[in-house]
Amino acid sequence: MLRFLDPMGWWWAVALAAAIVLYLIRPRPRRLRVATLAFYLAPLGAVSDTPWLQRLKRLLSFVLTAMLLLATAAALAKPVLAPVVDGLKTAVILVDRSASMGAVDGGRTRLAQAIDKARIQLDALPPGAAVAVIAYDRRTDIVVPRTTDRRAALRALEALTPRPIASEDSRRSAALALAARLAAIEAPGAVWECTDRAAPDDIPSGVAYVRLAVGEASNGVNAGSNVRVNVGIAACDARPLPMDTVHQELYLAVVASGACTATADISVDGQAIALRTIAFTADHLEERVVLPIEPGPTGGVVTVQVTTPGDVLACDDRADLVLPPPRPLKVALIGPAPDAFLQLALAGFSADQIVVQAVKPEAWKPDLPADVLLFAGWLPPVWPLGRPVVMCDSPQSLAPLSVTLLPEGVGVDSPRTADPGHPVLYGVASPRVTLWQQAVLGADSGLAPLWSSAVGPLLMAGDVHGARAVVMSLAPGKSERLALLASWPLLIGNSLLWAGQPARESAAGRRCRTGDVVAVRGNELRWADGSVASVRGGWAELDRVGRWTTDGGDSGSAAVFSADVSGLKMDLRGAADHATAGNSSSSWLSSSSWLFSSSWLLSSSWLSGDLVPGLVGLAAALLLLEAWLCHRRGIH
Amino acid sequence: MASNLSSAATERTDSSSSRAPDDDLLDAAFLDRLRALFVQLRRRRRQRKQGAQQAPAAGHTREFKDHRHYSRGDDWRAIDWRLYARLDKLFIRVFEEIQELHVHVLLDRSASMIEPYPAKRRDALRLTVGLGFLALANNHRLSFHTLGDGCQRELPPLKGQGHVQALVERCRAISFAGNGDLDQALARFRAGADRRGVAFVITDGLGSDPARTSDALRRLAAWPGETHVVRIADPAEAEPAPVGELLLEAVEGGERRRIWLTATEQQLYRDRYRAWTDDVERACVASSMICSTWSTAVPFDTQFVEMLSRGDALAGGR
Repeated sequence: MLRFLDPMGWWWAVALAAAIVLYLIRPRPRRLRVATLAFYLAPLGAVSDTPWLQRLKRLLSFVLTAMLLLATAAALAKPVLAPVVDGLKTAVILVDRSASMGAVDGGRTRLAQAIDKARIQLDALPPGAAVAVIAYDRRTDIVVPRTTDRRAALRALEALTPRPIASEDSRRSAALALAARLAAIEAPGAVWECTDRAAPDDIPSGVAYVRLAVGEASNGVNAGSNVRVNVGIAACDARPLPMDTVHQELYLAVVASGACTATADISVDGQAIALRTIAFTADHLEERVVLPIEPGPTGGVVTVQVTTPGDVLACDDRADLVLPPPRPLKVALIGPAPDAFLQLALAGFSADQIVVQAVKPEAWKPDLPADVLLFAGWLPPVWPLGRPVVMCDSPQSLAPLSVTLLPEGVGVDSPRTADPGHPVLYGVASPRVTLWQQAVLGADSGLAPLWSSAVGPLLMAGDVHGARAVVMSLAPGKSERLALLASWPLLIGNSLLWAGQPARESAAGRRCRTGDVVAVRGNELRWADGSVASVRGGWAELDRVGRWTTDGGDSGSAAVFSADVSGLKMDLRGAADHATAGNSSSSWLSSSSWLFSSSWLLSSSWLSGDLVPGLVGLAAALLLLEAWLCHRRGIH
Repeated sequence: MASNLSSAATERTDSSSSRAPDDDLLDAAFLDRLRALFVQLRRRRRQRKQGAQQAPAAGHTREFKDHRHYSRGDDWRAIDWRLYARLDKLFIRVFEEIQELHVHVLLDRSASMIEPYPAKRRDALRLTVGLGFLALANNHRLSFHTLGDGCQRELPPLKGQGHVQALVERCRAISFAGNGDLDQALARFRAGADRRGVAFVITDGLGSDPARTSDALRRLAAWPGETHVVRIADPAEAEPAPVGELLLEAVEGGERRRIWLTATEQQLYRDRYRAWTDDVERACVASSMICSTWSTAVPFDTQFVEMLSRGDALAGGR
């Protein structure tokens, strides 16, 4: 619907009356009969306009002048093309402020463009309608509660900035549900979502939903020479090498939204150690890099920076990893008589990496000072909560683990591997293993099979009660080809290192995604850029990219780490740009259903929004056209 | 032939919508002034040369002029046998020949000769009558043509002072209108069997295409006698219209143009006009024609005497 923010501007159309009067009483040129026109026309060039063409030009000049005046008056009246919202009593503006909304399209962020659209929607609201503003990423905030103060809502909208946090569909659904509840307080209500994502599948009922889409210009666009692209870090981690006490292994995944060439600059404590040039093509938009790094005896900070010309999103270009000083992993081996081959495998580890302490079952207590609890042929009465566990040869079930013993055992040749890329199986030659399965494992939740035989799983890994756990039911001594292979100590070492990794990183060097709420010690969390955030109740939200420390001694880093954000994969499906939900008998919805059946009005940037620039351009074009047609020469 | 001329003259007389009042144009006072001018010219001519229009060549009239020695090739019938008998030498008699001039007056009757400056028509007609009076008074033969889109003979050849009134009446009846095509008109000009004499072309040279005036005048280069080109000009023509928006309408063709005239374009107009007049004069000089510019702002007597003094066929100047 076309509305005028300043209808008084139409008073300038009075100038049209003046133009008409001037046209009617325009001074006629003096008529002069001359013996010849040659001396007049020769200096000016020959023209051959006939009298009827002269009259047509005069009339055309008047019409163009009138159009110019009307366009100017219309521009002064500040027209906006906004949806019909007559009868609407509640409007909830739901703003996506996640990382992708910080992408720059046409010199402005998507969030700024979305706010412009929301402002136009607000201007079109009838007087008295209530407004609420909700912003979400991984967290949902009610920025402005339900109010009739439009200016407060506008100020809040303009104060919103994108946060470098990847949103998730579940968080968006929660925010949408909250917005729907707010909109339903006083029906009829509507939810206007400003986002670069597609319309959700689960549209709340009872309210109208309108998506104010932004970012169509660059989403999914295959990059050409002058098309903006984005390259970002989708994953980055470092871990000790199993048999190396000096080096660590850095894993880096870089994702691009289109074909381009990016550069990955990797440095440790500010000293560049690697520079990789990565070429992305339309069919190859993800690149993984694994390279060894040497953090030093006291740890260090690994900084990864990816750059590419025309990058539209900066927050996903950098990742910092705080590497703790290397220390050996403390393992408590608990069991009555551990298997000899297990002890042999443990003995093969360097003392710089793994320190094993044998504990008798009688001395078992839940708070044993160890990073990983290794149970061999024995299980405690209850699962040790919050403790990393590796269980070998479990004799009975222990919730949530269920163990079905096989009295005779089953020989397994080349167990089926469910997840060959799992860290527990790193370096393990699963196809070459021939082993003896003693029990069939199972779990209600948390544990996932890694190795399975014909009778069932024999190696599982996962999270149980907030800690990592690895469970295996195999007898290396009876195995035909396992104990003497390198795969056996690798399997044990991987299991211990993987299970103990969170414990080792808990004190220092936690690697988090932005938006995570982490438990920290202290009262303040200080970021590397100097900003300080308060810690409330021992919890802090990591809402920016970079390294952080707390006054309680904790440290870590945060980065976006989202392939969807870095690849700009917010799929915009035009057919789902809008939706109405709820009872179709809603009177105002039926009266204004034409709007929602023509959603292109909202998604089309040149037909919606502020029409003043277009009118100013039209006025300028009319002025130039009139001057060119009617005044470019002295002779008409 | 006479009836055709009469009917054509009547037709133009009836349709002469652009004819100006002629009460003061060819009145008795003007004719008296012409007679005075004729006397003045004759007096001046006598002061310079005796005899009326003697030709240098020996003729065959009965007016004896002189004797001279016979030489081979002379007509032996002119031998004075009496002198031969007395002097025993051959002499031949030389007789004086009095040449009869044929004066052709060609008057431009296009619309630009009356609009926007009627004074041009007035002076053109007075000049026509003045030349005709002078020719008839000198017992010359007079032919009167008008130039429009063609060449029209207005009167049969006249001789004797008694035809002055007929010339005046014919001039009064001429209608100045229509588009002039000087080039076409001069191309159709036929002087008749007697190609000797003087031709006076009275025109303003303007019209739809003044640039062709010079080419048109060059057609008269083949005329064996003396040719006068009298360019009738009003001083206002040399100056452009005032600055401002104008709707110009050409009197010939009715073409209309709307222009905004500035000082720069005024100067361009003056330059163009001056270049055109220079071009016309150069064309006349190159064709051995006598070009005179007749300004409507200068008294008739002064310009008439000055113009005739530049030629020697009719007024015997020099």
